[in-house]
Amino acid sequence: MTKTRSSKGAGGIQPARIPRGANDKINHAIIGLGVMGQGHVQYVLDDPQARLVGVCDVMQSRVAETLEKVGKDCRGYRDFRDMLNSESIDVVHVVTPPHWHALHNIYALSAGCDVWAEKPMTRTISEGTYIAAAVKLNSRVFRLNTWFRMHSPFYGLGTAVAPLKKLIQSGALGWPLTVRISAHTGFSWKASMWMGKLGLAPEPVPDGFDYDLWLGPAPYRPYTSHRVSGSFRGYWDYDGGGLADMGQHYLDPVQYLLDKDDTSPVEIEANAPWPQHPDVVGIWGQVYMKYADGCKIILESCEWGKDETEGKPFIEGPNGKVFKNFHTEPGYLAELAKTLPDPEPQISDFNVSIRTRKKFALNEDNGNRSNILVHLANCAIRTGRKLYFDPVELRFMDDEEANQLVEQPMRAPWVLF
Amino acid sequence: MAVTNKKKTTKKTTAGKYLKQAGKLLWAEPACGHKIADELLRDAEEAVAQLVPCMSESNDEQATQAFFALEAMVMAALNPECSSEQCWALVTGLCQQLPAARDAYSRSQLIRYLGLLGYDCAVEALRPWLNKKEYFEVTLLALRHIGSPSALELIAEKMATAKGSAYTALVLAVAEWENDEIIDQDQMRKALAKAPENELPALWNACARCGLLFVAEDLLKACKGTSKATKAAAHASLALLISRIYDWETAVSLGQQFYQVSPVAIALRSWFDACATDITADCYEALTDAVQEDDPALRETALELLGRASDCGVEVELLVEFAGTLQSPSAKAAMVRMLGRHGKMIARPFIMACLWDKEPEVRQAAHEAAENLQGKLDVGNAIAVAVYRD
Repeated sequence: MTKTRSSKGAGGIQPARIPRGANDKINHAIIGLGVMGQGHVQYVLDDPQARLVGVCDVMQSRVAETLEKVGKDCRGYRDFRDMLNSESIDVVHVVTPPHWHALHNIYALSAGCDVWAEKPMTRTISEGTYIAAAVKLNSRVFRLNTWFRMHSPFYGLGTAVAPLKKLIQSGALGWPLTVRISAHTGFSWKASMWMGKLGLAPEPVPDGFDYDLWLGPAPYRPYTSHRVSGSFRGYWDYDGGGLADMGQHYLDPVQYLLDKDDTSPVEIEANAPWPQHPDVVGIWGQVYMKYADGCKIILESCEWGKDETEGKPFIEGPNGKVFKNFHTEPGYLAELAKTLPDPEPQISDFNVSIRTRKKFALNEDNGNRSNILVHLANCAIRTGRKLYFDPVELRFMDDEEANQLVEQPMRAPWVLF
Repeated sequence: MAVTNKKKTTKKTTAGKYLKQAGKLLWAEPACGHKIADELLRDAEEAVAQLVPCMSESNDEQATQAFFALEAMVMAALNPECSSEQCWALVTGLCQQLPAARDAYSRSQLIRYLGLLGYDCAVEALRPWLNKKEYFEVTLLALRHIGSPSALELIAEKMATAKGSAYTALVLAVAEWENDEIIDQDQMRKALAKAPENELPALWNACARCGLLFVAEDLLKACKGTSKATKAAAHASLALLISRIYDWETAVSLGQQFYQVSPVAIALRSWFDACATDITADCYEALTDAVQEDDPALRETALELLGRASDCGVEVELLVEFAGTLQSPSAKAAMVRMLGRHGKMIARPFIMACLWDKEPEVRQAAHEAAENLQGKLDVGNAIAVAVYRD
């Protein structure tokens, strides 16, 4: 060890407060007060351990309406930075459109707050790495707002994830596995619902709406009302359509089931109309993903082209299949699952993570991995060709052209740090 | 009315055969889309010349078709299998047609395409648009995408005379090259002095990426400020700056100052990382102090770093000795857990002794730590662990 100057006499900057006792309420603040934002307001109001101290939105009317609903102990803001500066916040909920997710998450984490983030975790593949680094550097806890790996029936599949996990980890289905995620196995991709609109002409920006701050890091484009509010998903600059809306809900449990929380597919190919529009998110048919060990995921929208998954199982291995409602082939597999040991326990209560500083079940690392799948699918749809991905470097291999979609510069002065 | 009709007729005629092909591209079957894209790329310059006048912010039918067609050509050109001649012809066509675009929306899209394609030869064509306020942002993004030496040169040239938010945007772009010689320090100092608070994070980030040490003073000052958002950005930039300093003493000293003004996790980690394989006595002392902090985030960071400290010149015996001196049961428990995670057998006697500590919290931690050593335990201790687990 080398002796240098003394570290004594540290300044009086206080670290962020962290609730200690069970009676110490957790202060929450919410950025983004659209439909999902209102859902988060309700999460906080329903939690006896929580107190809502701040809400923020670039649309003044939303702030006013929310404040009316939540009462006088909460204050409203237009700019998230003002809210971070003014309030004593333990947890920031990031419920904005995805083009803002990385910045809002990183600002909140760096300001000493834990984060409860909406999905998809980011708008591009590279942004996830920045968020994961910010969590680690600042020793914060992070949860992504999807929960199917932990509890609840897995959408229309007719079963929760746990019995599937038990069966898969027992090896009863064999290896490698193929997973099909389509309307036929219980999953609606909402592909048409979240398409953007062609043929929109510019409109005047409404009063009380800070369009420049709404755009933030996204490139400037003339305002149209369909670009903002709930329909932003239909425009590439902000999100990625139904795939981005439902992708992490559907794909995160599959990554968990396949034990892929620390890796990504290596081959990705899409069957979709091509070309796509430069601005407007379009429709798609299938996306095929393959991992290095041969496991496959097939996504099918059932809204374009021929269906390939009708009558097929949700999961298929060399020794067995699992269909909707846990019908299995051979039939004894369903019974076998009941006798198998439970999967490793997960922390599924974010309050526990906050108070113990232990990672939430769906965190910045495995959340980033399932987020990557969403973006891989959209990259394959946009480029219209088979892509080869390096799951360690998180770049397409020997394909700088496709890598242009992996990392995209932000409009100044916004920068990821 | 007659004039309007005549204009429409002229436009359709000009669009010609390429627009007819473009009409088939709206949500086309991929095979059909690729076939048409290949055909368009074969006559790229001519096709672009016919399609660009059809683009408009009104997004009418013709404009939509033109956008699909240009997207098809660009994405096809971005296929590594596309011939360089065809890519070149497309880039040439787009450069030539930039002035012909009917409105800012359409021209901005062409500029974005030139950025995506990434050809150095587009830089000169982009030059005039960098000087126009309406196109400044999109042109700068395109130049950042291109990322070539001449793109850097153009940005640097523009930066030399830029002020205010334009300077901020340019310097942020230049920082992507991580070249400390391009940023004029006097100009940056003036910018830092005058910048509004919301632009400081960008300026700091640019300085940090380029390893410009003079910004450290500003950053340390910002760490003492009251704005949490600004302080967050200062913390991040200081951490980045420290990681870019190659002189060990300078980096360690700055890390130490960082932690002095902001005793938070990121500062402790930066200081520790700056020490690399030769941890200073002060840093070690700061880590051991932090283990006893009330702030769990700081405590967990300190424990994690202490766990790595044996790679940085700290003997495990020293960590064990330190753990034995801790009065706080929770700090001692955390240290025991860390030693368990560490898995070094030299910590075993201490962990075993903690199995019978007077504090339940420490005993529980010792049981958890001992599980990491299971299989190497003697019979008595193994029984103690088994009894606990039951």
